Amino acid sequence: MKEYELFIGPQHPGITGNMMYHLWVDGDTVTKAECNVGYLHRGFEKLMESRLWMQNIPLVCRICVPEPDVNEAAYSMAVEQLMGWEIPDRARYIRTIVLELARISAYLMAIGSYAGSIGIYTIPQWSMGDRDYILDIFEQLTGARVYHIYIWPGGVRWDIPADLPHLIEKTLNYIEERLKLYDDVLFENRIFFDRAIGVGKIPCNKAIEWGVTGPNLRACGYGYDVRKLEPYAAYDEIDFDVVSYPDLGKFDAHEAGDAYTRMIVRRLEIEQSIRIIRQALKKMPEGEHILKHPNWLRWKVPEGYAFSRVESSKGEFGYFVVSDGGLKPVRIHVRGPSYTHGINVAEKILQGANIADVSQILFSLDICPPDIDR
Amino acid sequence: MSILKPLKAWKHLAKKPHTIKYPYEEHVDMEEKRLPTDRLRGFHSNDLDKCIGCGLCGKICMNKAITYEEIPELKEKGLKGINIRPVIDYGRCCYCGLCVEICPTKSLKLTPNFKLISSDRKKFKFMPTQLVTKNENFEVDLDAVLFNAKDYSKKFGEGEK
Amino acid sequence: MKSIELLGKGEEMYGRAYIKLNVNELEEAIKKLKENGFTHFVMLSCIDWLDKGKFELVYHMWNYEEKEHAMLSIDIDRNNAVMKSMSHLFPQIETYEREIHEMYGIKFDGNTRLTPFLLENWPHAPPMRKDFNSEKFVKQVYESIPFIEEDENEGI
Repeated sequence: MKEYELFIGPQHPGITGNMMYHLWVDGDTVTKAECNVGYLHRGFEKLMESRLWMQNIPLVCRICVPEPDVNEAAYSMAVEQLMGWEIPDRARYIRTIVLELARISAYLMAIGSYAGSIGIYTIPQWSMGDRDYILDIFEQLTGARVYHIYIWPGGVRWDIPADLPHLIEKTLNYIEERLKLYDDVLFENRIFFDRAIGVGKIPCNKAIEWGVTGPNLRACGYGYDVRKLEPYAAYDEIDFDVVSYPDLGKFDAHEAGDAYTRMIVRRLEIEQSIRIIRQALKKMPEGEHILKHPNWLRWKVPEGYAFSRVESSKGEFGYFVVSDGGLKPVRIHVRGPSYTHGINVAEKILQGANIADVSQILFSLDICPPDIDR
Repeated sequence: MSILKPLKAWKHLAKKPHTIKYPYEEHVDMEEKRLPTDRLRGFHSNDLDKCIGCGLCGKICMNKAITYEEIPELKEKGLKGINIRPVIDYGRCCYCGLCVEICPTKSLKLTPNFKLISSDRKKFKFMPTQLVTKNENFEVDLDAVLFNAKDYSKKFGEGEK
Repeated sequence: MKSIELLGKGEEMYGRAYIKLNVNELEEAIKKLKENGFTHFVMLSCIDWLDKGKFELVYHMWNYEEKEHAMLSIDIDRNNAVMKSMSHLFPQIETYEREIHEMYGIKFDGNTRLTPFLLENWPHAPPMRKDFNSEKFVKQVYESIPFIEEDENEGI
């Protein structure tokens, strides 16, 4: 058999963004894969070194587009560590609600894109429409639909308007109704079972060494979640479960670490997020929503090295912030979860796969190129 | 696992779609409230009498979208302070609102107007005034802003407000 | 903290362990931590201290059982930036070293895949170094920072 080279290029509906995979193919089977990124490199880390501490916030939220609040929260937490600030209780609960709403909207987008890759095109149309109702909530709370610029060091920017909790409750009820339809069309569909079981397996004893985090790690059998290991915002006062193989609720568990289990874990975590938001709305305390800031043009952060981590819908987001006591940061390094998933893990899993399954494997890992390139 | 359950999706043929035929229908949220609300971060409005020309909004803007222009009539009006006022370039503005938070007299504000349609590039760089307020159709009224320092006496001249 | 006890030196900084090591102690330290529960390698960062004349490489590791984050830091000389590669210990270190080689110009001996990662056809100096001024670079290569042309007679 002859060997062919294929370029699944930066403009393709079968990959999750703007990146390129270079495949060597023998017949129908992939023998080698190489990842090629750099189409979305905007130079964030160099730009952040020439701006004041407060001017970085409208820039930081543009690193991950489906879920921008995660970056704002991680940056604010690192600056609060260096300053030694404790944020007020009301701000912690509001941050929890905003982060969980962003998580639901990112999971809806991930489930929709995955279903499109195996040919069930009804689900992406439904899920992008349902995501719009969550963006309506964000528009009334933060002032913009996608780039919120809402979570600041010291708390949140504005308080919740009085009529918003009722709208949030109505939207959550609507999403719960729609999840039953998603089960009928995708998660209990014969096509999903035949195509996804046993495909794209990550060897479970090597998952942590390869740097897998987030729902992909929980599908391999490890119940690790940053919200339980190192609680931030209000997660230590709220009751929720960590979904991991083999406890998959009402769905049957098949093999660990394959595409089927990863998508079922994401489907069940939407229900846990809805549970968290309902508890946070009930338990919300009174009080201030932000601490008093110093003068922004003369704000110097004490020197030190700080690291903060946040659980996003794709994995573990990390921010390493270095300051030398000046007006501008010395170094900010962003760790995106797709850095390990998209390059090292994908190149190893794609060996031996069918060409028709390449798209499905990449979507089930939920790779997002902006946080590789920054 | 089932092969007939996905056919339940056919019942959506009889339902009303959740697409909004904008602009013939209004954009409302799930509780029939008209969107966008007053919190939306759109174009600016600036009260030229309250503004003191301190220059803080230009210093905090990271995109260098705010420059300043002098209006001679303000000095004759007897207002205390410097008579320069901000001019905003909306090709560079990212609508973050940091200039509003840092303004010491609270004269600079963000209105929910987000529509501005023009085929002339120069119409997107202007000085916002206090005549820019929330519009019915969320459009920016180009007669309420200043494109030229000489327009001040036309819009705010004697006997007119 | 467990990592400070295992390696015998270091201090606690904002809840994390910050340990300063020599260049030849690094491989043994990472192996020792890997066998004692620090199984997750988080990332590899590089800081450019221009006035002190050195690069600082920081290796971050995380322990899932003890919930502890360790930062191992080494210094290398800025004018002769060469370091031994650690990609045989964890597979993702190969990608981090590739990016640092491209952005800072540090050579890693033993890494066979130091090919361009994010930038393409880049013949100029490594861009993340502190003596690379972005505005001057744009003026040199593109001969102007694009500003909107003003007409003197009209417009504000």
